[in-house]
Amino acid sequence: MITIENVYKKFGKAEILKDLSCEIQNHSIYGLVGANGAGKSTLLRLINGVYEMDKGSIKIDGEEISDNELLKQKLVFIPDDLFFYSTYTLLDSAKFYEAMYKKFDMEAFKEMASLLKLDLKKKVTTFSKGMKRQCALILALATNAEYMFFDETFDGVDPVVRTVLKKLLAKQTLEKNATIIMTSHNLRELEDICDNLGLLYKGGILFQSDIDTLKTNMCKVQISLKGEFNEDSFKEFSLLNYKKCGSVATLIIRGTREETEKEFKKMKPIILDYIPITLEELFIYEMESVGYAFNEII
Amino acid sequence: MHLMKLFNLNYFYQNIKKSASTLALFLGIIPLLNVIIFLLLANANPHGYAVTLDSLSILLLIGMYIIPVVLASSLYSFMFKRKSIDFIGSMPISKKSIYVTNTIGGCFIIFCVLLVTVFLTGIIAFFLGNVYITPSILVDLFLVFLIAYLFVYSAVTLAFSLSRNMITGLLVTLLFLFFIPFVCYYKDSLVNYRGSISYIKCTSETCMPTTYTCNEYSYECARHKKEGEYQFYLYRNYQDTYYPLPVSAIFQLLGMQEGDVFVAFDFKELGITLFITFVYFVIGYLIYKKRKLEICETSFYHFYIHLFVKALTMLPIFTVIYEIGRYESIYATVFVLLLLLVYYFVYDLITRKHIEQIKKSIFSFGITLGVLLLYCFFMHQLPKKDAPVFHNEDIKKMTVTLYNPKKQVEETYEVKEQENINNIVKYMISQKEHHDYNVEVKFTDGTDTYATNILLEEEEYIDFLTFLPSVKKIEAKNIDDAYALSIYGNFINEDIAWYKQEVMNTLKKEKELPTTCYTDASLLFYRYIHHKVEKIRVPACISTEIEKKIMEDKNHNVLTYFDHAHYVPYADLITNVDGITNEEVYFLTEYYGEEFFKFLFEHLNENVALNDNLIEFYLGQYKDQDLRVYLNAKSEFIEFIDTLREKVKDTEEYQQYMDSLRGEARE
Repeated sequence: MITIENVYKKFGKAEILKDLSCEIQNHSIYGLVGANGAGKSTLLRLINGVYEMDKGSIKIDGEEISDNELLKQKLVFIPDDLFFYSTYTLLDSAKFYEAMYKKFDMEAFKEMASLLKLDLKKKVTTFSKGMKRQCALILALATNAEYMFFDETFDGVDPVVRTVLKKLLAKQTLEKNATIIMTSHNLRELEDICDNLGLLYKGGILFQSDIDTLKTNMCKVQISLKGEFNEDSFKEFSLLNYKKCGSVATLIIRGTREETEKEFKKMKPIILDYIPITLEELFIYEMESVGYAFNEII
Repeated sequence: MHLMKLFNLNYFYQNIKKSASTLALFLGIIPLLNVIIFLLLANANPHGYAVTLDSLSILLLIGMYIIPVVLASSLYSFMFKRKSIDFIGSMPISKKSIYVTNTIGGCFIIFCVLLVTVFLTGIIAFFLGNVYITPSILVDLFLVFLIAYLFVYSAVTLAFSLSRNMITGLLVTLLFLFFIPFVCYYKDSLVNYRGSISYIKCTSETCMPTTYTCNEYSYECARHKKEGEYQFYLYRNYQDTYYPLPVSAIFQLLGMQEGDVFVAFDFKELGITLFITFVYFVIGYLIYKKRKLEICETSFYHFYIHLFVKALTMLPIFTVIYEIGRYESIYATVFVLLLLLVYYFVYDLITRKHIEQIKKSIFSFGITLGVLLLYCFFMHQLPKKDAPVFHNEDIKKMTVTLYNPKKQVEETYEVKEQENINNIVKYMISQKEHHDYNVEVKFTDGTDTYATNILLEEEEYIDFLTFLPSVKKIEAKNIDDAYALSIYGNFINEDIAWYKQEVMNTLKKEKELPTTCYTDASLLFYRYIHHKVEKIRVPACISTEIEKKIMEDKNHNVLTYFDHAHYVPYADLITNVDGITNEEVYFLTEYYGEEFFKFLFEHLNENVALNDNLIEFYLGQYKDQDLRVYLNAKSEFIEFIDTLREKVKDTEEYQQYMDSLRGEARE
């Protein structure tokens, strides 16, 4: 488990993280979202011991990360701005990781490279942006580290490969019990893979929750009733958002489908549809419910 | 702390591998060029040369400032770019481990590069045959340069630990290497009376060095000489200013410091260099351990440190400006000041990638100039050290070198007895223009070392030898240690063992030299002892066999190499022949070259008899060979010259020539 307590970091006069605290459970995929400059990358660098915090503590499995070689064997970090040695081929890069990580699995790496059709003998610096990202991801996965950190995980990767990579990440969590922490400023990118999400805003975690709970506790409903109706007609529900277009209203309500469907049916609706809610919508309404304008945060 | 536990071989291998080609180029170039230079030297000296530390040093000295810098730049390259910091910083290796790995690994690479260089040098010397070297020279060469290279490497490592980009790192390296020596040098140049050439006024009891340089053609100089003030070469006693080895080597190269040899094997200097190296590595470790990797791509974390370092880099330039301002025109000063202002801004641009606010920069420039001005002003206020007047009693030690002693005695002696010192001083102040012997005397008054040559006539020389503690006869075992031998500047390859054996056998018999030497040739043996090349000169006439062999070999060479068609007739008469001067021979051979060489080859024989009828001529050089001939035809030569004289005696040129000779004699 990663325990972050009151972490404070500033560069010059700019305060990047301010008393940030959170916990990240093991064996899950944790998505960290936030606007540009929110401090996502800094937080990942602090967790990985690249940067040093000014105040606070970060513990992974109860141990401090600072200059801790043994603990670092459990972590792998792929930053947003990728770095490869200019003279290294993909295979050379793999050998570098193999030299540094005791649990590096060369066979698994070669399999993944083959799956993604990456030429092992080609210099990585000659690859396209998306291919470099793929290289970095499979190198990290092959380390078999317990904690994997990916900053702007799928930046530049095309949708088809993105799906493959998501599967590989999910497999790593399921089969090897890895904990993956990934950042993005795009919620849609994370919604179908993350178990938990944290929203970073102005140097602190504004909101975090597991996605299943979020999704099951909120519903998006399209409804049409006989005769005139308005927002007041749904007073019994914990209404987060109400929009009416013609005779059909779209509601966002708190509560499970099972709980709310019975109540709606009592109103004998002409139309009653439960529409899948996107992660972005979930966040928008949750943020709005606590008084923040989501669009200004992310 | 177990250093080897912190050493990460995997990381080191990968760190080297990633820039293998660059490292191979820069690290391989020194051994490679060394081999090429070695081959060139061998080619330029077909008759051989004896290797000294000096002859192998120049390239290694240049490498001293390339190899450690390139190596450190490669090993620590990741520290200066954000992307690479993310990459290495997140790897499972601690900062302590990175530093220890790079330090031990870097030292190991330097060790290997020098080992390869020295090994190749040895191998090539072995195969070339005409290059003479002894393993002790190679061992010393390796040790001296290993310590020097490690020192530079430690300075770069420390500078990189402190700096946040590579350019600043390199500037700080220069400061670590040269700032303190420069400050000391500047102070010395202001407060000391020392100059590279000085006059020294000596009486039989006292000596006083003066500060100015004298042009030997000036009236002033003539007066000094007349009044008993002699020009002695003043050695800056470099032994009392122990700079780290790479610094002193560069100072010697630039003529800022003098020493006997280019690179001296000096235990104290090596010890100091090694100590500073260790200190630099330890400080570097402590700083690196605490280094915040996230602060990079700028000069320093703190802006004031940036300003401070910038001011330090300006100091050498400013001292020059200060001196210009004192002695030269105001326009020159203003111009150089403007250049300094440009430097001030460009420095920011290069090291911090932006220029600070103009107002702030001009203000800090003003403050920096003020501080530097105060520094220079203060240095000029330091009390000047006057030239000491020292008495003979102040002379602690004299080192006397006998040039071409014509005896089987060693060349260098240390004189410490006061009476002998006084006697030698008397000879120093009463020098002759005509002389048979040249003796070099170095003496130290505890601060400086002075050197002069004393010219002596035969009788004086014999007297002079009595001042030496005990004229040491050359020991046979010293000859046995010799690794090279030259005669008339040509190295002997095939017969060296014969010469050594012959000399040793003769020395063991403890015979005095024969009163008559048929040649002034001497055998110059090279021996490497106490980390220095020692030359042992043995007169050839120590043995008639040696003398005869030298003559016969020389005759053989002339018979082999001399080419009538392409040779300009010219000959120097070496043997004293009553009534015939060398000038006359030269004059006559100009007219009757063909006859002369006909005479010469009629009497030239590979077998030479050592008798009074022997005569020696020097015919110049051919392909680095000293062409000399020894003829058993002195009486025949006198007759031959008489015949030539008869032929030319009525010519105007000969009359003029004879008149000029008579005129010289009258004067």
